[in-house]
Amino acid sequence: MTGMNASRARQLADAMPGGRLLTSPAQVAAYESDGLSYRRFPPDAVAIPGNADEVVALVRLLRDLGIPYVARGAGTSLSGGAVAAQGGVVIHLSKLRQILEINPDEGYAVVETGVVLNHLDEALKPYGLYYPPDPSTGPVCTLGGNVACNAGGVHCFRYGVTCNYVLGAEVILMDGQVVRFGGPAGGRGGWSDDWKRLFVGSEGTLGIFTRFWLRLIPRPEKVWTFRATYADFQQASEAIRRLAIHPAFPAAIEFMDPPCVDMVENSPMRVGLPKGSFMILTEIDGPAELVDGRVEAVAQLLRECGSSDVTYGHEESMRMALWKARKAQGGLLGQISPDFVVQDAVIPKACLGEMLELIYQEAAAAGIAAVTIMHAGDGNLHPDFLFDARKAGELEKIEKIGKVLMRKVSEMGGTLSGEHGIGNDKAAYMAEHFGPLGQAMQLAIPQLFNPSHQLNPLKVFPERRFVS
Amino acid sequence: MMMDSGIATDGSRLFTRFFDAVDMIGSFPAAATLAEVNAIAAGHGLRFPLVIDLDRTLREHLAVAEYAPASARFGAYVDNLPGMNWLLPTGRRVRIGERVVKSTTGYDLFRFLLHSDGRYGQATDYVLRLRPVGGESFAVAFTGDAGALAAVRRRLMASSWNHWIDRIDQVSVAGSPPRIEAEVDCLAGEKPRFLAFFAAVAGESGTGMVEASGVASPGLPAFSIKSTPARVAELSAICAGRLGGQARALLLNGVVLVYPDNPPDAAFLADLGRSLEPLGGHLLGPSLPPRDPIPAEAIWAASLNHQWNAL
Repeated sequence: MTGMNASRARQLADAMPGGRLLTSPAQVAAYESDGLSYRRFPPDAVAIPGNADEVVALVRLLRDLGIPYVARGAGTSLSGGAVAAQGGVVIHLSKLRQILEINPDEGYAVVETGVVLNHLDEALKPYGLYYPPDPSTGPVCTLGGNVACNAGGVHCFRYGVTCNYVLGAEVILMDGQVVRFGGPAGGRGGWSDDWKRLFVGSEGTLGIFTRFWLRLIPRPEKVWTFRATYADFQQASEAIRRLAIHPAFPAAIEFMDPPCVDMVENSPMRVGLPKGSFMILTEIDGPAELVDGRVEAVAQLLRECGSSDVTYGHEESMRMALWKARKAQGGLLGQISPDFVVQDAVIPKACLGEMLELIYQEAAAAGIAAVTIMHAGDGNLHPDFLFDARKAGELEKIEKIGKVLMRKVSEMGGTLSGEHGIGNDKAAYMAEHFGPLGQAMQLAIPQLFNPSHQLNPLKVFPERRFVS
Repeated sequence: MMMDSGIATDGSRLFTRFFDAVDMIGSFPAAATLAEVNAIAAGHGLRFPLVIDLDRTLREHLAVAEYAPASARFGAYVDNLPGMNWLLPTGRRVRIGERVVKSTTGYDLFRFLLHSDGRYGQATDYVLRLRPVGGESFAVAFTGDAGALAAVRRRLMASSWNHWIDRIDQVSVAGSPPRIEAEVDCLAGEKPRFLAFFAAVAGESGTGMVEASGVASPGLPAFSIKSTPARVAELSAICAGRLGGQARALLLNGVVLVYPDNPPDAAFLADLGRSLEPLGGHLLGPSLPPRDPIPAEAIWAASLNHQWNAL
């Protein structure tokens, strides 16, 4: 350990016996970054508590020792949130991974913070129940991280994001006090104010989650997936507009721009999309008797907007084939580029054309490749920039593009993050987005729960620096 | 054509008056009635479905209920209002939340403040998420004994049909047998499919089922109860029996809207409130007696007021 003295290190090791304190550079290397992999912050140590009581003891010890710390699940976040930006200790919560209760009659589940999202989904299937938030990292990401970042996914156009499903949360505060906000009913319980609302989406800056009460809904009985391509943007834009206002309420409306389509088609993952086209993918779901009757109307809508290759189906193999290009693009970014950044912003849908123009213009000026996908139903845009951080000046170009785009997003009436969080990636843009009064109101919140910023410093707002 | 961002450019960042039919979103004064909101929305083929009383204002709705009957399909108010302009006690106004429906930018002051009952200021304008009008609306009523109605509730709760049903209420009226009402706003031509489903539910549950023409809203409730879905039918019966009048259990949301003939006594409310707390439930309404805050909460609330009132 480089950032703490031997006495402190020994006390931490005593609190985490059995090799559950990692300190060697090789051991902590995996915790240097999250999905924003070009920004690295090596922690001094990684602690792996076995249960909530050990987390409480650890938090109290870290408070007394004056060491900054950050909670972490699978580390799949894309905004530099679950990293030790000021050094200190990463508390890895992967051992808190029990599904404690599934209550079909009341429609809720109680889970520990380290439960993997897709493990919950598998456990719910036999009950015919569904927890809709579905970030693309579902096979590995944990519910604690999902709640901390208010994760979304492709189906939140109709079903909503994580905060729509958190009924209650158990939280360890900075002083080691364990509090429960809400519960199966999802209300305030004995509290006068709805404090859990502040903790959900707070990116681990106010307390450490240990368990959640999550709302469940019936699993859609049947799903139809549609894929269409368009030769020009106006056609694709019209398809998005008409799908979004259609009373059949698609569960998902996804968009890929021509550079993204071409990236897939130039790879071994090609699926036969016309190069240079815009791709729209949409899904409708519900009881078979209902959703089957809506299929032709959706297909017709896609055709009327100018697509001559509308493909659709409900069999699992067919649906997976239709999703393949969209699902493959994320992995391809990592295969064809040493580094990439997945931006995240939400804009009014009417501004999509203007925003795409700006993305292409900025990327071309910087000599950086860009591909764009979008959760188009709710205007959640993900421009992805491919670069090589080892090349002089490339990182600066990426950061300049990010700044230009985020300023434009705010001007358009959009927001800086729809589902990834702010982390340390976008903290610098918060002052401009909120304005002085809005930012001052925001900064009042960590003053209540984490006034010294010892927990997850330098995230969300750059002013949040821990001074021991 | 330039799109109206809906955000003031004078440095205040406040929401301006805007209507975006593409995003199905618009801002409205807190003092607007739901009839006024829906008259504007209807011009674009849209509606704001979370109506309890068309003639009452948005602010009045939010003071007494976190859910409306149509929350069965569309969720709570907090999931349908992404932002608002907020008046601090100091007289300064600030934008809270966003004009887009999805955000994880900063601390969620919007959800914290929306039903905070004047403790930190009040809303002057709301941004509302609107929904497309379906094309055909109708309602049905299930009648039967308590056991049969419980079977209807369980069947509706477990079926993905409920994603498409606007309202599923159990209505308890003092001195009358309870009934479950369901209301649908569907695509033209889909009504027979819904009726077939409802008939199957009635058959399986041993209840009667009739098409009900336009069930009148009794207006805004005196107060609302947040509990869990399986408990609200009983709670609504208790309230109607004890207080007279009627109570409507929003079965999917675990909410009861209470319309008493007689004002509830403090002991009844205190007992009811205590029974809800272990589940994370609560009571809401402007006429309810104030509660003593939990000591930790009193410190947090005082600190927030101190910080915000200094701005």
